[in-house]
Amino acid sequence: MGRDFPSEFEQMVLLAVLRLREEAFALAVIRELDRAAHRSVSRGALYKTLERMEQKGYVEWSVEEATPERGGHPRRRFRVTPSGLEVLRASREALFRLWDGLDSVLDERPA
Amino acid sequence: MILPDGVVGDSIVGDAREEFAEYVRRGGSAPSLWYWVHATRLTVGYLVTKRRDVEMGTILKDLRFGARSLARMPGSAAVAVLVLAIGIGLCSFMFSVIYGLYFRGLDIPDADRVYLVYETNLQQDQSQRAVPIQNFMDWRERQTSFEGLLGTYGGTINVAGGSQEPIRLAGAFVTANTFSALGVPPILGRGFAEGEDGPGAAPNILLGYTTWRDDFGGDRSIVGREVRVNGEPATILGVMPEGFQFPNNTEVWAPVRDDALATSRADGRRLSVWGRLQDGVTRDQASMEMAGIARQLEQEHPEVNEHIGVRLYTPVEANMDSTLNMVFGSMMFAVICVLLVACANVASLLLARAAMRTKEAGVRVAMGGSRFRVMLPFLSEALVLAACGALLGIGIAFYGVAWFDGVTDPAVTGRPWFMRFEIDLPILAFVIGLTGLTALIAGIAPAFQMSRTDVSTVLKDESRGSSGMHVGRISRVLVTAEVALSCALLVGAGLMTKSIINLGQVDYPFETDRLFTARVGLFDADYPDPDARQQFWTDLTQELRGLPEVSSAALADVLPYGGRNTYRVGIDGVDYGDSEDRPSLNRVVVTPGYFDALGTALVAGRDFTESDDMGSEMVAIVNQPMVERYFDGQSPLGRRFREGASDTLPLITVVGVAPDLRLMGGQSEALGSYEPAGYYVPLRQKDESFMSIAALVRGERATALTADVREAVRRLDPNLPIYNVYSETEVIERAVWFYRVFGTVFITFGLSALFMASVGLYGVLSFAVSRRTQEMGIRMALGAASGDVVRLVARQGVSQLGIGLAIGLGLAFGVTRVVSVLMYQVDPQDPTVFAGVLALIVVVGVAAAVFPARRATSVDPVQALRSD
Repeated sequence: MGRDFPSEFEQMVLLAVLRLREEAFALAVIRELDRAAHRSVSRGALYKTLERMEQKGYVEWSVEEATPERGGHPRRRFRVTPSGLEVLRASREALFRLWDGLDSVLDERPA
Repeated sequence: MILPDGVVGDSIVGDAREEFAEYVRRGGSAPSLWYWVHATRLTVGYLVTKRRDVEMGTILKDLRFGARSLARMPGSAAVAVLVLAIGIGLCSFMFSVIYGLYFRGLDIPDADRVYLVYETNLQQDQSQRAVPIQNFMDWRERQTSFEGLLGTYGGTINVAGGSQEPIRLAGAFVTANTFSALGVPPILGRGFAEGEDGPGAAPNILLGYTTWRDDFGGDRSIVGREVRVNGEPATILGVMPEGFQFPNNTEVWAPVRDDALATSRADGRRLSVWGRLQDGVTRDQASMEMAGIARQLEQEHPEVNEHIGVRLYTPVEANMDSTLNMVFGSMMFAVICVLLVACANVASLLLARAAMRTKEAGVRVAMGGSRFRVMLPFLSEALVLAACGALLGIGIAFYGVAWFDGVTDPAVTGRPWFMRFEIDLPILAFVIGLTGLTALIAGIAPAFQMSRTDVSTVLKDESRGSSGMHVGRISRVLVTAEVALSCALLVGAGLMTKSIINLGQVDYPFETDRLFTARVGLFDADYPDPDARQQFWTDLTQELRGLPEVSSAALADVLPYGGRNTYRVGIDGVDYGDSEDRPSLNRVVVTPGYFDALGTALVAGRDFTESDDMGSEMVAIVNQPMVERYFDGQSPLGRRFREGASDTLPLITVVGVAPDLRLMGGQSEALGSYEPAGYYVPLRQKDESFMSIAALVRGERATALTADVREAVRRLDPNLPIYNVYSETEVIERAVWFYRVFGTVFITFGLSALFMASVGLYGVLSFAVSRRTQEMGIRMALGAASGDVVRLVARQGVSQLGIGLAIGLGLAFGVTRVVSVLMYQVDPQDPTVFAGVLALIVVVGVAAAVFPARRATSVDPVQALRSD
């Protein structure tokens, strides 16, 4: 088998982080997934996924200073790493190839 | 707690606080509830996601997806469900039977410690000898392994008196400790007390539940009622619980009353001995102790106990022999094969679908799905199919088990009462386990195949999505195996069919529908000496002949297909080295006119007359097989033989030759002990207590005579019942149930296998065709005739068919060896059966191949080329 592709959910999270640019905080990612992908995300699942992708080297984060609103707790800002971008590209190409030529089939009737 | 340490955990808590603050600011209601719900969801979500990739939700989703995608192809799904239902149904049916035979056991407390104790004589190849009552009493005194030994023998018990008709019941004579040793007390009244057996005891009885309910109206005041038991006054002591029929489908119990001192060990009563092991004593220890006692008895009484050993049997071991084990073992094996075929078919179907879904799997892999994750949908589909199949299968099994329980009714077959067949909890647990296993077997090949999908191959593949897979080879092997299995099972089924047809077409050499039969038994109390008995038999014959509906009547100790008695015979003038060399031949005791009553006639010589009695020369009529086998086909009239193993016994002179009246009944010629030769002797030169009536009626229906015969017997003795009232046709039916029942079972198995093999062949070929639609289109576009295309597709099917048949024929010869004991007058290598099976499989197989092939020719080239 070729390289390890990120899971569907991982890809969505990576894309959301990219879209949010400098505003990629956990809560914002949740809102973005809800808005753009109509996907209601469990907080636990999101944190765990971010943790896993951090271990794989797809994302990294920096700490923002604490605000009183957060009861003095820090806030993490996420960023997609170059290798995260790399797997996203590979995955996109794979999907494009797979989708290619299927328009007639897919439009004709649901498979 | 479960959140990570340090800044990561802190930031998560911070996020939660921020969300909460946001919620409060927007004026959300019940903020504290909101907080707890979110905190819980957060931790639970974190925990669940932490552990595994696959959540329960995903599996359920896959199951739903599986069900939905199957619903989109209802045709194939229905076939798959049907195929699995047959597989699971037959397997569950057979398991119920096996469970009933081998595992259910006695329905008494601690049944696993109850054993039968038999004598053995390995020198004479006897492994289950009943025990002389004197030995039994010595055993009882000396042994310490059992809580108590009980002895029993079976016999007819007539109960008369009170207001109702005299009835004849299947009785057991038991030692007084029987019910306490078994741990089963009566539900009404009391059991036998200590000392209420042996010489001088009254023949008091306990009734079986069914007898009490049906023959005594369930009257609770029955206890203490005075009745006549086998002609003697007795009291009803009590009623045993429902279902208790120890030791052998027994309806009534009376005490063993033999006087052990009055007879020698060689001639006395013999008992079946049962015992319950003491706590902490193993079967081996008990066997050792009993073997030691047997050696003591061998020294003390060598005249009867030479070479006598002792062996313990569980009730199941005592009732099943190696033939039955082989029969049921091979039936179980056959249904497992049928289930495997079913799995192969469903696997084949799923493989076909898997091949069409290579791209779906490719996407899943590309999306980062683990191997397990990719396999899951295919396993789920198999599970959905298996579950539906199991539901239907339980229905099949339920019907089958009810049928089998009915046709093996203990009253007809002698099946022990504790071997019951029903679908209950252990069976359902088995079905559930089986379903899971089936799903796994059916789903694993396609699932595994999918998980090996190589993404880059799939992605590069410009053609149809399936070419990267080895689906074709696996499916072809499966189908070949199916053809082979169904060929083997069908040969068995074919032979069985022939056997059943033979049964229906037997040209019996005697009357059947018009022959009335019934049994009468005389008891010592009323008929104390041979003269009294002879007188009764003479009077009875006259009464019967006087009935207006009877054209002729006679008595015999056994009627054709009613059982057999064998005696060692020595032909006068033949030198027998050892008594073992003397043949064991069938003997029937008859009254004059027996052959007329059966509607047949002697081949040579004369019939018995009233003057062939104790005072005249001993005479016999031999049958034709005896003439052929033991008189070299020469006329035996005037020749003489001895009955028994000694040369000092009186000689019997042959006065007549009878046709072959099937003294072996329905027994198979495949049995080693098959011996059709036999002879008839006159009742007046013997002394019998039990005889069967054979009366040829003038009308068409034999049993119309029942009331007349009952009245005739009652005129002679008002306390005497007649029983086993059947026409000879029914007697035959009861004797050959074995062939009919097992034949039907095997035919069902064989047809199921054939159905499955054709489904498999059809499925694989039509899948192959659909995969090659494009190729077909091109061929047709380039001018191939439709015949060429049909040949192309059919060739693949035919080669699988051929290989499968070759293997199957080999298997079939093995099958015939097993089923030969179940067959009635069929050559196990019957060429017409083999040819018929071959033809059937070829026809079905070719049909299964031709339909997809024809579909291939209907491909529109334009459509085919555009399809990718």
